[in-house]
Amino acid sequence: MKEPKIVAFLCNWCSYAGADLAGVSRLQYPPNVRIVRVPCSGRVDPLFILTALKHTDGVLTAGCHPGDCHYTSGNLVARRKFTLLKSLLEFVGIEEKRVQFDWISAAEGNRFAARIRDVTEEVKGLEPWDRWGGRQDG
Amino acid sequence: MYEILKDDFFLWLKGQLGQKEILAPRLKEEGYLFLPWDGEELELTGYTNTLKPVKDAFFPQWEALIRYRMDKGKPVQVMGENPATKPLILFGVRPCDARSILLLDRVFNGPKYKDQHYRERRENTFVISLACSEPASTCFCQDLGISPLAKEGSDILLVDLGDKFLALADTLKGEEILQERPFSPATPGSMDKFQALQGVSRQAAAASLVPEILSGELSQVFVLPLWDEIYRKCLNCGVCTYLCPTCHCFDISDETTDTEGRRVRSWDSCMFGNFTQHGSGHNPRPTGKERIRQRVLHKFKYFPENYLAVACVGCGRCVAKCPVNFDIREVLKRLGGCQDDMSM
Amino acid sequence: MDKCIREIRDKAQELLETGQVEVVIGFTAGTLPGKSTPCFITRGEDCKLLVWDEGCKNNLANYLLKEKRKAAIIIKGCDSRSLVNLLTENQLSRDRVVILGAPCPLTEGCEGCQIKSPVIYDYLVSGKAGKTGEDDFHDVKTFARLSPQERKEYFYKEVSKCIRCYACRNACPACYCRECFVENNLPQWVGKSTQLADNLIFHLTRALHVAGRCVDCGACQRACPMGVDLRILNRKMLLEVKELYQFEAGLKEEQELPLNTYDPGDPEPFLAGGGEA
Repeated sequence: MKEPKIVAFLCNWCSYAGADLAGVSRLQYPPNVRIVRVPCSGRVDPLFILTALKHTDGVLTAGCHPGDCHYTSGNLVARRKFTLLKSLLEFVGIEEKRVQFDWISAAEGNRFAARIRDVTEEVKGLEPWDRWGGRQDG
Repeated sequence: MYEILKDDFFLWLKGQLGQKEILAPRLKEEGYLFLPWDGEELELTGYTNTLKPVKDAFFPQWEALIRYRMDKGKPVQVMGENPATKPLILFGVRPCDARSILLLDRVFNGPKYKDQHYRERRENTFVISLACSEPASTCFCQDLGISPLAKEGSDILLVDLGDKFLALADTLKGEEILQERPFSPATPGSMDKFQALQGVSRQAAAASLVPEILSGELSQVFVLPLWDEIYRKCLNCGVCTYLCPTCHCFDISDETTDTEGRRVRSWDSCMFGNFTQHGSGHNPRPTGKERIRQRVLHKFKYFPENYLAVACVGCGRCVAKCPVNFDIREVLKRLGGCQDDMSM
Repeated sequence: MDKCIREIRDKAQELLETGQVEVVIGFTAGTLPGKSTPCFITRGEDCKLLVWDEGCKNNLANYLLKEKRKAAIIIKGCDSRSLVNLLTENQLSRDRVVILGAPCPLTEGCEGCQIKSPVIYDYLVSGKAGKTGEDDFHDVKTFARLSPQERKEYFYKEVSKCIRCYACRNACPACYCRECFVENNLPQWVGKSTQLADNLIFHLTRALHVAGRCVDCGACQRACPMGVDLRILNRKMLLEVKELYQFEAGLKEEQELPLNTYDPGDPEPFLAGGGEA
């Protein structure tokens, strides 16, 4: 299949720094990912993820590990939101691997690169995504 | 006047499928809808009218007007959109909806303004209507002076006479078709039956529901105390306007990604709060009161002033589907009783 | 029910005539069979127009959001839960409203309804509400047993009927945002077309926005002119919130809404690999 496009919403304080570390450490990871930096994983409205799926094939959202949030509890509130989003998506028949979440700290460049590799491979392994019924190439 | 055996008619209609697309009322879970017909038997017992109005065929809920691409260092490319050009037959339109097409014509294909997309679809469409024999409890076309046997707006109107249809034309296109086989001139017996039906419908026609007061001064109508009351239960959703065969307001929005986009025209509704929202934040119709007043007066005052006809055909969809039972007939009756308020 | 409506009318009249409220929000006879219609009564003598019958289906709590006058409202079980929610979310001030609670007039009731009598009121009208059953969410559970492909097809089919009239949103007392995300145009999140993608994004996002606040009154589904099965999405969220966070919306005042808070030990089933690091 065509190379899938993946969007990654990364929190400014941990996961984006983790991606940065992966870069300066010259770790290889697939170029399928497009990174969107957000202030906190708590800023990620489900709408962002659903809208991203209109134009791309998979979404990864990552934030600080629980307990490490720059704003104390942004990721903990986000956790409940993501739980519900994920279960709703699964309920309406969207594959589990299409929308993924992870906690990635600023020190985890390796984890970031590995996660991008996994997400890319896993999305490639799924049936082609219909982009909410409006698939156009690109 | 012409007639045709029902079986012969459907054979003839099937014969048109090669050159034309045919939309006919099809029963879906939610109700009857105009959907493509490919020749199988039509289930029309219990068909009063479609859930969505016929305007969708000419003025679709949304359409792309243009598409564009912006590549770095190159001029912007603009691609026009061509509406579908395959000739269309609309079968099973009710007389109220057929009339609504004439009203929309005045807006989108009138002397002042011609909308290219609307016009192309309209000119490509042949309308075959079915006269009503059993109106629904929400129907009030006759209260607006529209006969359930009216042919206006249809190329051909079919009247059910048991095993045959009586066929009348309202256009040259329609007349040409009826002059040829398998249609044949109506027998005296069929004509008598039609006359009898007309007699019944004329008897049923009540006095006009459109109150006199609305032809009065706008400055007086605009400030009637009833506007302060009737709007309160309205939820300001778009059910009434989206299901209305004559409502024709639209919005234009650009949907873009970084390098390309399209300009979309989509239905809009005067019931929505942001319909008149200005960029400044000011809203000249800030509450439901102004919005309801707009809907009623547009149909029964402004449209008649601009286009010489009431913009309501009495199909009753808004009455049947309003979530809070806002009934336009009640509003008209109450307006009729407002004469005294006016003289104050 | 005769006694019930007499009590409602008397109390409403008393409240208006003694100046305790300026308006009574209730139901009056509608123009279609089986439909009663919301009404706003300001004169004591008009209270005889009030009805309380099978047709009283709308969720009236909605109207309090726009009401500037001091109001009395006649409510049934689910409306009262919406009202509690609005109080919890500081959308209403309690001293601006007099609550006339009455047992739900629908004899058949709605499937899964557990609360037919108001949970909050100033006056409670006598009368017995119909039976309530334990909500076992069998509709949600049965649906979940279908294959993912079947579930997706069903959901796509339902949502493709949507004409984006927003009756569901406007009928919902939990949907009170001043500016809804669908009306945002800088950036324009959701397209204005009724293309499947935009319809899907609208309905999924709405289900998530009302998750933890939805009281399953069914107003959205009843308002829908196209018969879209909206309730299944809301009920899925209801079940999740109940199981994961032991929370049911609108049952008591001053409980923190589940999506406004967290527990350090919350489960993380959504994580890649199911939660193990």
